[in-house]
Amino acid sequence: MNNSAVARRRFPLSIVVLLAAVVILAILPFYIRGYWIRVLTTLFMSAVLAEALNLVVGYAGYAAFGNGVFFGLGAYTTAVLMTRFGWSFFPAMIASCFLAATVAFLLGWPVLRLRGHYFAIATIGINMAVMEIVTYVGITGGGKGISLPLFPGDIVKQGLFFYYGMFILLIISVAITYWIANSRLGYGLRAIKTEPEAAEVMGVNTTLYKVLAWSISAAITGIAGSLNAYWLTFLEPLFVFDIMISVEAFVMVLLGGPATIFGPVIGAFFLKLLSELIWSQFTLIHMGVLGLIIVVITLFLPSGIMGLWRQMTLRWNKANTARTSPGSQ
Amino acid sequence: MKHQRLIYLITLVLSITLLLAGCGGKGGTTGQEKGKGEKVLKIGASLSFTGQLSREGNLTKKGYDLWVKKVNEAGGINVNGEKYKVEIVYKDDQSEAQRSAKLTEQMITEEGVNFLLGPYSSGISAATAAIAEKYNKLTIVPLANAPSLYEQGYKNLFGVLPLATTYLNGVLDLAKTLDPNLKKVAIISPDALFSLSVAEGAKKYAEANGFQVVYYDKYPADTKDLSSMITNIKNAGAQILLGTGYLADGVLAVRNAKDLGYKPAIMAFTIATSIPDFRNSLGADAEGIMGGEWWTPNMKWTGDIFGSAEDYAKLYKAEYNEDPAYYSAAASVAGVILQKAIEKAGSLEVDKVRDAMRSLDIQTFWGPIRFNERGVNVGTSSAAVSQIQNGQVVVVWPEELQQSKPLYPKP
Repeated sequence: MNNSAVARRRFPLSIVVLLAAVVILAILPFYIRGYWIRVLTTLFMSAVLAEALNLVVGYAGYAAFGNGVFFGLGAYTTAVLMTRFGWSFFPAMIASCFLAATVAFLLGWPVLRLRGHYFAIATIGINMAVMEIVTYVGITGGGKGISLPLFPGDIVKQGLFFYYGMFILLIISVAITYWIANSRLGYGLRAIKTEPEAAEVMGVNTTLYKVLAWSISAAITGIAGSLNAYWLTFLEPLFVFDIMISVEAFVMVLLGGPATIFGPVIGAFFLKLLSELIWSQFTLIHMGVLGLIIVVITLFLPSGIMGLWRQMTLRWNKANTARTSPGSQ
Repeated sequence: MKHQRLIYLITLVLSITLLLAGCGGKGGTTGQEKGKGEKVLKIGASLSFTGQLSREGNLTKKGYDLWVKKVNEAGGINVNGEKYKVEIVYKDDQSEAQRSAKLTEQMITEEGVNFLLGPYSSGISAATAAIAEKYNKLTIVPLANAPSLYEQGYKNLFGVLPLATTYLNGVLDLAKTLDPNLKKVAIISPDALFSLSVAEGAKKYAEANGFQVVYYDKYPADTKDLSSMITNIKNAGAQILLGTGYLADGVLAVRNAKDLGYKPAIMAFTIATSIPDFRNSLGADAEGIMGGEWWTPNMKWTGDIFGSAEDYAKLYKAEYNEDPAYYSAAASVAGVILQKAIEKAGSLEVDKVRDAMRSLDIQTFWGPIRFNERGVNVGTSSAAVSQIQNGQVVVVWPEELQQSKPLYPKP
């Protein structure tokens, strides 16, 4: 690896690499087949969910364990609007986004007063309650599920539509995270995470900040759910309110590194690609293997891949300076 | 800069992605040469081997495997004079629709399959059928029979089971012949796709046939107590109780009815008689209970590949050392249908095989097979009815399959 040479150069290179990554991912679908387009689309979706969750878990330090509820809400809003009211996709998607954000905004005021486990359990409760409501209300098709109209156009167009849809959503959610991390909101959230009372004393409107963060997170998650619904064409409450959706996103955040801009994305790529490899190898015990890997990673990588990476580069830099100093080697 | 290193990491991950994408290799073709000029037909099957539906998924696989074994022992599928050995590519969808969709696309674009044998559940089938439709690949689903699945206008989807809505029609038909005074029907259903479809179908059929539906309601799928419902049903004076839930729902309803002293003349459940656990957990209380039965080994159907239903059951027992459930039988017959359609078409082209499917009219150990324009098997009109008599399950309806007179009223 000739990393040492490149590593010395400064900021612009990292921008170049990031842009290159974006460009490569943008033109990639023209060179790969349907299945891989789908794998990458799923990957982007997971990354979006993790990135959205990161705003609440990573920055504000609130363990929103049931964040998948907004995914389900987005999915069902789109499904109901398209199937029952004949809306086209984009207005339905925007409505889904607003509905998810509004629900988070309204629920946030009471629920975000809870801390620690209490908040985590409350969000799981919300997830289950909303699932029950969706199952019970007739307009959603209840337990029978609901079919969405098929995407017009052939399979290639369909693949590209959802690929770019998710990709753009991922870029937007990373951009939002970047913006928040460097804004007053981000500093406020980090202050809330470390010392909520102190933050309040310092003039941070803690409740508003937390509610805002959760609403933004919900809005992004809601759009992902909306796209997913249109993509999958059939919804059952259990498909989209599955607690595993939240758990998986949570693992991705922890794995990648909470409160970092790219951590959740990397966590998502890592976990998804890993499981993709595992599935092809062990069809029967993959869940076990995956579980084991997750345990190992969380045990030995408490601050995620980003933390490990930082440690490694730190050591590597030290070794470098030692080597360049006279006398060694 | 701090960010710089992160960017390298992203590059690394990205290159792994690309590498993986590159590893995909070239998609195979359906008819493949293998070794000594032996031709192989690859068929895709995404099933649930793990997760919530793993039991049904594994039973389905057994059925597929038995068909593959049978076909290959006979030399393979005859495509216009050439013999093709059959190979099924299995994938595990973990009982998740999104994953099943992905695996289906993988089988189509990476493995190059033209024909798919379906997953178990209607919900998951809905997700995979949408993909197969776009790629113009044929799917035969052995067990998914929710009416909504066949209302999408898919031209490449074929189902083996009659629609779920017809499941309990046989019980009502039977009731009519037993006693003209049987009029009041109660129908209860857990809130789930399959069960609600059955319940809606039964309600419609009952009303169309002069019955009076005095009670009709659904309950949450994981209910642990049905006594308030049973009380209402008892007060409504229902003579026939139809339950459309799964094993646990049936057991619960029977126990609650006993506790409350409710004795309908006919008690029937969708999934009850076919599962030994039902009899085992209820003992004597199970006596006289009826159930819908898509297929049992003692039905008098016969066809040319597996012989009679009884022959099939024997073969199955010899292979797996257990009695076949209808899941496996439906899966095997899905294979038979595909085989017959390909042989009739004399081609492996999807369009030609689809046309052959549309005009297929065959006898099998499962019963007659014929598809309507939506891909629903209309060879048989509804499920048969069986009853638990002296701890044994016997078919009591329709008359041509009857093994024993119905026990009426329920003791």
